[in-house]
Amino acid sequence: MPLSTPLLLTAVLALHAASAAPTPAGEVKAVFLFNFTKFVEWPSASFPAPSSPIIIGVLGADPFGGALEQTVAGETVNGRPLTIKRFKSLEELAPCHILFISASQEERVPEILRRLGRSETLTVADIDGFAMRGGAIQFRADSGRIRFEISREAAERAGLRVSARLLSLASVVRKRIP
Amino acid sequence: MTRFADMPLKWKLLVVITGTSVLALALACAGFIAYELAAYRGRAGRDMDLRAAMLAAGGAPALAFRDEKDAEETLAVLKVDPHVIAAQFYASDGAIFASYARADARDEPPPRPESDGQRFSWDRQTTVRGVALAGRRIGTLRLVRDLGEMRRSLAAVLAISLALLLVSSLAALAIAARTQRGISEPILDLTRAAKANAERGDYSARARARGGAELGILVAAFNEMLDQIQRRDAALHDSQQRLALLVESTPLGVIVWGTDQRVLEWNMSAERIFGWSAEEAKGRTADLIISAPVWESRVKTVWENLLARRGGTRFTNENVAKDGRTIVCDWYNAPLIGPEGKVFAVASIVEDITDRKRVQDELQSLTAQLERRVTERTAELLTLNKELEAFSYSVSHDLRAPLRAINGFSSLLLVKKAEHLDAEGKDYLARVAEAARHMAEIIDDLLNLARVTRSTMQPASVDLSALARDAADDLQALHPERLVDVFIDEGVRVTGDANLLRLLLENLLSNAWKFTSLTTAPRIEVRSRVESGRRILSVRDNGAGFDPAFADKLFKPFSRLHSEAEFAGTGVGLATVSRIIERHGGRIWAEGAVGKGAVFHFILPES
Repeated sequence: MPLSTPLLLTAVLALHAASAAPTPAGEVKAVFLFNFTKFVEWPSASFPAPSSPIIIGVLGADPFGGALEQTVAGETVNGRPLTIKRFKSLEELAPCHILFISASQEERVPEILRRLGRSETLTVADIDGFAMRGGAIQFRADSGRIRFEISREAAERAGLRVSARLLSLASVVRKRIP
Repeated sequence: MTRFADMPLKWKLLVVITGTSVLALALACAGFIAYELAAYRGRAGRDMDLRAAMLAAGGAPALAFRDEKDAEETLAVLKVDPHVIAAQFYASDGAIFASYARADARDEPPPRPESDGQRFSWDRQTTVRGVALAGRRIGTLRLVRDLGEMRRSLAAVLAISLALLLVSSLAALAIAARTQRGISEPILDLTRAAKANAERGDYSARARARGGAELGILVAAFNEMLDQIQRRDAALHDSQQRLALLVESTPLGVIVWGTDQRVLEWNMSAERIFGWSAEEAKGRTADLIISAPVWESRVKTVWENLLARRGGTRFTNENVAKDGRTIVCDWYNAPLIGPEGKVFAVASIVEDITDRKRVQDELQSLTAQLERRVTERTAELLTLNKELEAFSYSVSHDLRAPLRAINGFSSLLLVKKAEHLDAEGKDYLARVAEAARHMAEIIDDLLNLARVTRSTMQPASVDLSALARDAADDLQALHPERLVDVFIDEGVRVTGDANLLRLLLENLLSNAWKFTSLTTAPRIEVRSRVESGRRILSVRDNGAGFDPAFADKLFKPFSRLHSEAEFAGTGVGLATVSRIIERHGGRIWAEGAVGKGAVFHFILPES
C-alpha cells in the first residue's frame, strides 16, 4: 500500500511524541507482537502480493513508544517485511494483519470487534477479559512476567491458523463468542 | 643394558622376530582403537546434532515468548536420555534462560555460550547450537553428553587389544624360539669351529653341514676352506721339515744374521767350517769369524749394501776359524725382507773353498808349466819339420838330375843301340825307362806337396767354377778317348790362394777321372750348396769308390786303397789336397762305398 510522504512523516512525528517513555513491559509486548507473526498463518488472500508486508496496526494511544519500530526494523517473516500503522480512532482504521487495541479504547472494544467482523485480523490487547469478549489474544501480567491468553475460536473465526506451539505457551480461552 | 650388537645371535633373532610381530600387532591395535574413537565421535556428533536440532526447534517458541517454564519443560524431556547429563538454553542476550541437569551431572555451564559446534573432552561431549525462529537467531542451546559409554567401550577394546598383544607376543616368542634354532645353531656351530681353529690351531674341527640353503652352503664352504687350510698346513709343515733337514744336512754352512750382525741361526756345516758350535755362535757378532782388518776393508761395505738392498750377494772372503786358521770362503748372501719391505735379517750360505782354492792354484801352475813345455816342443818340432821339408825338397830336387840321366841314357840305348839288344834286353830296358818315369812322377808329386807347404799364401776372390772347368778341359785333352759327363755349378766364388786352389781342383778332378775309368757311364759333378750358413763344396763321381772303414787313410801320403795294377797313382794327390785345405783353415771329408762312387766335401772359410 503506497504511503504519501507527509502522512508517513506525520506518523513518525506522532510516534516520537508518544514514545517518550517506553516501559520494559512495552518493549516485551512489542517483541511478542512481532513474534506472533511467526506462529500465525494468514490466508494468502489477505496479501495483495507475495512480498506485501505484514501490517501491524496500533489503535488508540500507543503504549510501545518506538519499541515496535525498533523490533521490526529490517525483519522479514516468510519473506515479508513488516509495517507499523497507527490509528487514532476506529474511524481511521484500515485493514491490517495484527491490530493492537490500546487500553484507551477499552470502552469501544465491542464496537471495534464488531467493525472488524470476519476480517483476517489478529486482534491483540492488554485489556482484561478481552479474549473472553471475542478478542484473539490478550496480554496479562503473571508474577512480573508477560503472559498471554489466546481465544482459538476468535482466531479461527477471523480465518487465521494459530500454531499449536503458540497455543502451548498460552492460556487458552474456551469461551464461545455470542 | 647390553647393546643389540653385543647380544648373542640367538637373542638377536628372538628380539627381531618377537619385536617385529609385537610392533606390528601394537600398531594394528592402535590403528583400530583410533578408528574406533573417530567412528564413535562421528556417531556421537551426528546423534547430538540431531537431538540439539529437535530441542532447539522445540524450545524456540519458549525463547521467543520468554517462557522459562516452557523452556525447562522442553529440556526436561532429556530425563529419558541416558547420555545427556545437562542442557541449557541461552537467551539472545547471552544469559542462561533455562537449564536442565541430571543429579550426577557436575556440569558448570559457562555464563556465556561457547561458539557453535561439537567439543570433546575426556569425559564430556559438548554440543552448542543456535536456536532460530523464522530464520532469525533468538538464542543458543548447549547440550552436555557424558562419554562414559565411549570410555567403557574403548576400555574394552583396549583390554582385548592388550590381551591379544600378550597372547600373540607369547606365540611369536615361542615360534621365534623354535625357528631361530634353524639359523643360529649352524652359525653357533660355525663360530665354535672357527674358535677352535683360531684359538687352538685345531684345523680338524668342522661345523656340521645342514641343508642346501645359504647357511648350508656357508657351512660347506667353511669346511672346504678348513680342508684347504689343513692341507696347506700339512704341506707347510712338510716343507719346513724338508727345509730344516736340507739346512742341517747340506755341506754348505747356513747362517742367519740379525740386522745388528748377531748370529740367529748356525747350522751343522757352519759348525764344521768355523769350528764354533751353534750354542757358542748364536748371539755373537760377525767378528767371531771375520778379522777386524778384513771387516774394515771389505765386509763392512758388503754388509751396508745388503741392508740397503743394493747387492753384495756373492763374494769370496778370508775368514778365521775357531782354531785360528785362516780359511777362504765363498759367501752367498740375501737380505730377508719382511712384509713391510724392511730388511729384518740377512741369510748367508757359506762354502769353505780353502782346499779347492789350493788345488785350483796348483792346477793353474801345472797348466802353465805344461803350456810352456808344449810351446817349447812345438818350436823344436817346427824347426825339425822345416829342416825335414828342406831336406826332402833338396833330395827330390837332387834326385831329378840322376833320374833324367837314367831316363835319357836308357832312351838313347833303345833308339841308337837297339840292334845290339835282343828282345829280352829291350824288355829290361823298357822296364828301366818305365820305372824312371814313375819315379819322376813321384818326385814331382813330392815337390808339389812340399811346395804347398812352403809357398806363401796370397788370398783373393777366386772363380772356383772356372778353375774346375779348366782342370776338366785339361783332363779331357790328356785323355781324348774318354767320354765323361762333367757337371760344374756356375759362378761359385771363394776366397783363397788361386794357385793352391787350382792344384786342389786338379787333384780332386784327376782323382775322379782316374777312378771312373772302369765305369760304363762316368759322371763327375762339382757342386756348391749352403748348409746351416756355411758353403759346402763337393766333388762327386760314380767311380770305384772306397771302403768307408779306411776313410781316415785317404788323405795320408803314400797310402793307397787300390792296387797299382787297378789304378795307377803315387798316393800323394789326396795328401796334397788335404794340405791345401789345411793351409786355408778349412775342412775336408769323404763319403763313399766300394763300387758306389766317392764324394769329397770341403769347406773354405769365408774371406
